[in-house]
Amino acid sequence: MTQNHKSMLALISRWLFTTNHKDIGTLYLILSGIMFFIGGIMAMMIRIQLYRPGITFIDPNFYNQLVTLHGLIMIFGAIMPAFVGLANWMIPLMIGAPDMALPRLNNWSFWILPFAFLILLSTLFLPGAAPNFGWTMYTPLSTTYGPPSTDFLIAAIHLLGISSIIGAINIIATIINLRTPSMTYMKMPLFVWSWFITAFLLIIAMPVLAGVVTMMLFDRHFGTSFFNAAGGGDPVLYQHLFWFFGHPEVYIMILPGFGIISEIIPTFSRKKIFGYTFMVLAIASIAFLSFIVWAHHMFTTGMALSAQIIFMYTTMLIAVPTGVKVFNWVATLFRGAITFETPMLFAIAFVILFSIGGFSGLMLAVVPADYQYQDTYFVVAHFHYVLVTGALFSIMAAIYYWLPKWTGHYYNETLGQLHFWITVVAVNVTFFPMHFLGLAGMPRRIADYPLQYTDFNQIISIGAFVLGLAQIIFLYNIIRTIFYGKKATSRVWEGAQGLEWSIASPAPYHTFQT
Amino acid sequence: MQTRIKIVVIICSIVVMSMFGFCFALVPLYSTFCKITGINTALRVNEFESQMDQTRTIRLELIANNNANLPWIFYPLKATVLVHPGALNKIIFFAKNNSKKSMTIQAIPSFAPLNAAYYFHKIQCFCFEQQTLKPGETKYMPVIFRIDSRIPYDLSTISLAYTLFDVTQKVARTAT
Repeated sequence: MTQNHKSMLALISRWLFTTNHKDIGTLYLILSGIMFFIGGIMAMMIRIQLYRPGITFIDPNFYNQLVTLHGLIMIFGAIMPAFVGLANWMIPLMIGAPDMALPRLNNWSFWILPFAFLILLSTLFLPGAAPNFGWTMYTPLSTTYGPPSTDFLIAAIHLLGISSIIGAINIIATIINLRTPSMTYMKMPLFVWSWFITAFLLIIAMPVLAGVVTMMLFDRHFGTSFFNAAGGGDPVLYQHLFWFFGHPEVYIMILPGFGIISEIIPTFSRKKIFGYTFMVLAIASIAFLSFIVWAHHMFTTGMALSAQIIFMYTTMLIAVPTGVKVFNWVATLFRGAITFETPMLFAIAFVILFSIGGFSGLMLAVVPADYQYQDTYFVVAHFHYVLVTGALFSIMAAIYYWLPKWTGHYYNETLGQLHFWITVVAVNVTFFPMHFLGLAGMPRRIADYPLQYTDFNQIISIGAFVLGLAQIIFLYNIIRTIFYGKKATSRVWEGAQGLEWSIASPAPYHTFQT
Repeated sequence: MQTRIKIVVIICSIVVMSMFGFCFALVPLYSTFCKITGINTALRVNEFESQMDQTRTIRLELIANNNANLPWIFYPLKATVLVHPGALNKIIFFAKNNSKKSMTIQAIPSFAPLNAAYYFHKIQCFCFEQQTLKPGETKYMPVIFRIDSRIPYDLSTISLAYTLFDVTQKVARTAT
């Protein structure tokens, strides 16, 4: 064996068998980046199709497959692994732990993921259609009428679920047991708190998803009738079970983002976070409320009026703790010595734009209004505001914020600001007109539309292309920072507080060893 | 592994297992919950007003569906009937088993608008019991009903749809 082969093998086995939380965090972030660009290419294809009315680019069945996979890839492939990657990297550093509590399981929970996505994406290349019923997988579209590839999707979801659950247990075990002795629960950084609560949401919600796709599998192949009316089942039951998982899931995708923003805003305002205790309580109450609001996704299924009213009120109640968080971020900014580095720009954009997403959520919570908005582009606008300008912006802010700690180099600030400004303009050009399209009655998930929607769709498509291209700047800036750039100090940011800034930059392979 | 970590892992695993089980438990729990609270069940008005009101005429549209390519012929003899609230009416559906084996079906009714169900009082209906037809056998299936004369004025047209579901295998399974 030549020297080259040996070093190649060593490199592969280092990443394949690593139990180091920093390596695994990096792997998660790389996977998330790859999935982000794959999902992004799908989004671009969707926007090419919708640039003009008519079946111009791809046939409707393939369009449906793209919409389905774009949703699944972005949720399970881009957003969730990115947050888990950040948790792996930062939680041990922030609480002064040498590593995660269960390093071997940590390795496993990552390495399940590439295979899960291989299974999921292989459906595009297999004979027959890929899953084409939307990421919500509603029955009977996914049972009676589901293409054979639905079984691949079910297998992939099971794997993703196992990975998330193991990851969550690991995070809980780490936070409970490995905090540095002087760090009490109410002294934990807010990012750690937000992940602590998110991990509980994961272990409660993910098994329900696993259960519901198992029932789907049984209905498809083993003659049961959980969701089949002909056998005494009920397709609406699927929606109840799915959204019992689905609503906590959307908070799983935003709570760590809240944590990140609560780290970044104090750093660049050079102040302590305003109302720390209330921030923790707000996260906890949002997490609790997430389990009693699921039916607001299904107001139009013919539910009893009393049930609709109860779910409307519980849904609107969520605005209270969320409002507390937004007010506390603003109060932290108030009279701070603010500077506008890239992470701070993303954080401020998060606060403003996520609030817009929250407001459209409130509009959707109102039952009579929801009958009008249900399944229109208004819903698409709403969840892209909370997921792109919410979750994704917080991830980008986190990457800019901690990249100097990870690589030992400052990123290029000019490129970072360029990336921010193009992104923040493009994201609004892309998603804001969707509100108007929805109010004008354009339905979701259609490959073609009537002529009167053309103008707004063209604006949206142009915004989307710019948004997509701007991410290449982001990618270039990250890769460049790994190799070049000004040497970072261990504190990195002037106003940074917390244990993770007490170690050298780049963070040594082993930290806080006892 | 440290004992304290082990405890956390065990507790979390129990939570995960029980939530997986809870998902399956929700299937019967939902229907029990709806039955107890009366949510989502079209409860009939207890007392019934059967004073005939000849000043009003309600247009009843009848629709017949087969679920999932059921090889039966199924249609109403008249697609539209005009009825007075309070009067006793009879409508007839025709069914023929076009398959080569004996089949049992269950008909499931559905009203549009939904609240019409509250005022629709069936005295006899082929949907009350399962219907078994031999290969090629035909049957005229009646529905005898009254419409409550307190039916709101905005309900001037009612659609009543019956969907036939194949329950042959299910019947065979419970019989053995």
